[in-house]
Amino acid sequence: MTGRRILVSDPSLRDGNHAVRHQLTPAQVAEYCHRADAAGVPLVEVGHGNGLGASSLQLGEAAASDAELLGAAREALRTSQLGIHVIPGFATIDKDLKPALELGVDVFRVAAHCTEADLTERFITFARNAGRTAYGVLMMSHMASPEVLLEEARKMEAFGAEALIIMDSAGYYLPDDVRQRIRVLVDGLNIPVGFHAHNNLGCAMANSIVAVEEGADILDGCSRGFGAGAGNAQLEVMVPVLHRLGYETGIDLYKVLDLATFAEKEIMEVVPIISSTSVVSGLSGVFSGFLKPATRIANDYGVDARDIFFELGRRGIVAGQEDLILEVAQDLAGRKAG
Amino acid sequence: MDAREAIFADCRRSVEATGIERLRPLAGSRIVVTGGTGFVGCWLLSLLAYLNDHHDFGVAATFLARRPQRLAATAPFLAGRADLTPVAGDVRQISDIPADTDWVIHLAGVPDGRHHASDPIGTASVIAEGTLRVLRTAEPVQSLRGVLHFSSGLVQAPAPGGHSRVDATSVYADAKRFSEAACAAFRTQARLPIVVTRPFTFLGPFQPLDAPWAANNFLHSALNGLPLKIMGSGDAPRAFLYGSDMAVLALCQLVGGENGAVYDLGGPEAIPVIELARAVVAHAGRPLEIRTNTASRAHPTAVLVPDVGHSVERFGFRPAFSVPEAIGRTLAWHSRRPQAGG
Repeated sequence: MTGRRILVSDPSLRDGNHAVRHQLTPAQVAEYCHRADAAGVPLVEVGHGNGLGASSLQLGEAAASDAELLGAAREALRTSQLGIHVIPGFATIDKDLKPALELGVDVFRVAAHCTEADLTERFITFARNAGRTAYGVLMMSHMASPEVLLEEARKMEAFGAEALIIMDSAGYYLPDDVRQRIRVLVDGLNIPVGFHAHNNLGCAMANSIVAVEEGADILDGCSRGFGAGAGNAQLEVMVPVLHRLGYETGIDLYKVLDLATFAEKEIMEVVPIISSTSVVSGLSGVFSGFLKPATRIANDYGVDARDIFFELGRRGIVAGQEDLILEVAQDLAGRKAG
Repeated sequence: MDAREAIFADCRRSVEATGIERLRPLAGSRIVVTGGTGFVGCWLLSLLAYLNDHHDFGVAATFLARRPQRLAATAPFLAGRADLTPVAGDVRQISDIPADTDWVIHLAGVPDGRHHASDPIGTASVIAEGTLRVLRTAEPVQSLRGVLHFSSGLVQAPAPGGHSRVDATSVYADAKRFSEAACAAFRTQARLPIVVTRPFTFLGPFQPLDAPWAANNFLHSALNGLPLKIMGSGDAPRAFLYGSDMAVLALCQLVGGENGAVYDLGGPEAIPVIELARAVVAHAGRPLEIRTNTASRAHPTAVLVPDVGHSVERFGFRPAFSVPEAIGRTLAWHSRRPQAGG
């Protein structure tokens, strides 16, 4: 299908925060948002890597508060919408969502592990009743069958979600995995479906294109892939590829290319690559955000990070269970010593 | 005009439009209503109270609800009336109903899709076990003249994309289908006189504005100066019926319905949802954006439109309120109750 509009959402300033240990500053956010806005990126997601209210010792303390980051973004975004990632539990309605409303957030992407959509009801309802846009987001979606994903997605639709995004949080998917899931979701939902890729197995762009071919209307793309682990689908590649395939994005090519250059030079510490550990992380189906802490802990305990990932995958670990990395590393070190 | 006067004025118009004679069989009777504190329950109790106060019907109503005190918040003018007796309890656990009961209206259940999705077990349980319990308690009542069972218009709705799998969000409709089967079983085997009605879409006071239906969302947005959001393109047809008209038609179906019949309960004329949104904006008196939300591969529009032809023919049903009037009265009601709009 050609001429179809794809909503390209840019979570560089949220997912990318994982890659810099949540150290993005309000000044960086403001500069990036100013350029993204000029490029015509319709939606820019900002915040701690794990979303609103997630700054903590366990998940990583952010350099700036949510209010500082969102305030800087809001000031810079004229036509682009401001989005946030919200995981109920990390964020609460009174402490986090109400201030986010005041700060002018447009889109609340309310996320839950792929089998826990029930947790999102109050948050989706809150955003909807406040007149803002609410998306439902199913994380670590490879851990559920297409049929279970649809069940959970239909719950979010019933709660009032205006779109449904599945995340390949571990970078596990191959194109046929995405094709199967997006097809089931598009067939079974009345709301637009979106896809958020990670690049652990080098398939982020291919997977995103497959998603669109199967009827997805929303894609996430990050400048230079700036995101957790091996990074996300590259925004500045996604846009021209979509255009070449005949889709519309409303995004200016040169400006989005310049945006990526700016991000690489001024914001990113390193451009994400598919490291050996990232490959293992993707193969084992473990959340990409675990890459840095797992690598660090592996060094601390003198064990192979790849062994940690395969063990975490075997245990079915999900985001928010970072403390298990330490436990696994200790077990492996103990076995090595024994 | 206070709340009681406003609601009774609506009841008067609706009764006059269809004719009070249709409701005469209710005079001097005892009626049991399960789930009396929701939108339908409040309107039914209001209409019964109106008939008692203004037409000396002498109806004694017992209404069962988990929290009957909610009536004092939703419809305070009904609370404490001698002719409306509250009974607190779960419909699945009632042991009996008054021995001199003439009529039973079984409403109990939560029609909110969010609740169905988050508590499908509870949803299925209240509908299935609750309906069986109500029918069992009605069975030995010698004086019983009729049961009106509230099913749902959703029993006729197809799933998107022809999706045939039963899941959390389809439990409500599937449980309602079962409840209709239970009614048929009790009618055949226990000879209970039962009429089934399938409610569709309504407008009017007593509906919570945070409920996830198009009309409520539009009214909530209009009262709060927010954009009106339509899930879909807005071409889905819906036939809205005002609360007092709904109550009159439901009571007509109760006392005059053919045993075993299944009637629809809703408005006679379908309009696209976007027309409803435009009508709400027109009433709001301020410019408000209307937003649609469509997927590129949209499914065929779900047609949820009642057929009230049988009711028009059998009961001479005539709604008193047009959709624009219903919108105006509902907005006025909520404007007088600022806490309900926020």
